Amino acid sequence: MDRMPSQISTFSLLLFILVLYNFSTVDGNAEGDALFALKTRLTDPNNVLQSWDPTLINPCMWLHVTCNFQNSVSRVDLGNANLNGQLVPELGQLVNLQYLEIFGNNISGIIPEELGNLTSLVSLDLYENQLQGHIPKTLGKLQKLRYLRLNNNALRGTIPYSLTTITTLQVLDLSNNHLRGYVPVNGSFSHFTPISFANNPKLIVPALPQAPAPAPAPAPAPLVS
Amino acid sequence: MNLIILLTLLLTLVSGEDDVQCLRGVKSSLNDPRQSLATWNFSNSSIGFICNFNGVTCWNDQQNRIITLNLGDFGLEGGVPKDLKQCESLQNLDLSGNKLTGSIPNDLCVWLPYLVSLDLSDNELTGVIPDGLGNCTFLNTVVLSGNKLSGGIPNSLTNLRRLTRFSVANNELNGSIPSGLGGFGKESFEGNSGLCGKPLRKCSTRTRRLIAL
Repeated sequence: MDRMPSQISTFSLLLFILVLYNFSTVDGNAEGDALFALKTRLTDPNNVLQSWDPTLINPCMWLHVTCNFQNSVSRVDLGNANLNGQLVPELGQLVNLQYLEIFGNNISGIIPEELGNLTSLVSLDLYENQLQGHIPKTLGKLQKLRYLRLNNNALRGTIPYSLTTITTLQVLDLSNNHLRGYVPVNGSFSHFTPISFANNPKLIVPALPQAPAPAPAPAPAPLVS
Repeated sequence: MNLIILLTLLLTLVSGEDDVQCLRGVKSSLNDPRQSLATWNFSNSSIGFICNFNGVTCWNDQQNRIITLNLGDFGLEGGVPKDLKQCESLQNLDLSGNKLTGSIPNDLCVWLPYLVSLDLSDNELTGVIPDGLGNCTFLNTVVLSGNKLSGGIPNSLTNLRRLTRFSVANNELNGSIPSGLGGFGKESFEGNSGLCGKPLRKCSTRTRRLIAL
């Protein structure tokens, strides 16, 4: 009879620890769930996603996934992996993601606008797939983006002006799509040339920039030749 | 997807672009006493192999197509290499801080029409700033300071409507600064005793008459 209270308190302690343990791994699980949602929407004939086991604490031991020192996903490397299927909105939950490399596959469907939530993203490489639909204007929120390569897809619609606000852009490639309308030349797009927009038959690429150069150079005065 | 790669390869053959040849030529035409280009090894040619070369940034790692060539402070000697013309997708060229001699090629913008940034500063370049530079209509940055360039600043540079950063300081330039470039600060032009006009001192009438010829 005397042992009962101590047994109950041991049990309570164990239960308490178990509950705490569960809460401490919730974040890791959420990212694993997001990536697993992607796995569900992809067809993977080469079995590159074989290690993607959702019962693990977090996805950090999965192949093609890299985590930072806080066990949060920083890279997804699935380039040239012979994947079919579609991307998923859940990718937008990987808040510490810096590199999303899914180039060179057979992925169709749209670019989820939720990718605009990946505010740590430095590289978005979805080139050489069969992506359709529009370039989401939410991508303008990716204010640390250096590489935006969506070339060689079947993207339609216009180029969102929001992209011109991304001052960190070093490489922009939207070539080989079905984009239309005018190519912006302001903001960061002053650093891009027809190369970035080639082979979009309905896209109007200015051969010469339309706007005069911004300060400090004033608009050219009439020249005496 | 393999078809796309094949087509792109065919396209580059047809268009004459050959970035591998470009770099081969650059390496062979320059003297490289510091061995800065030692990593430029052409024996193993896998997909995108030049993308890992020192100073080279590719458009993407799946193609040998260069967007940026930054050979600043490599200790290189020789003239501006003609083989650069095979790097047709080049947008950013930085050859600053070397020991380059000879003149700035007049055909530079025929070779590299998509240049966005050109930095040839701190070399030993001579001759004039070529007219042809005005044909690189996408240039945002032109830095030619710290050379031995002579003659005037060509009016054609006022065609560069995207120009936001410009310097020809510390050369041997003379004549009147084209009015379209007058919005840049004094530091863009100083160190050229013969240069006049906004933002520097007004040109004397004698100078203006000379230019009218």
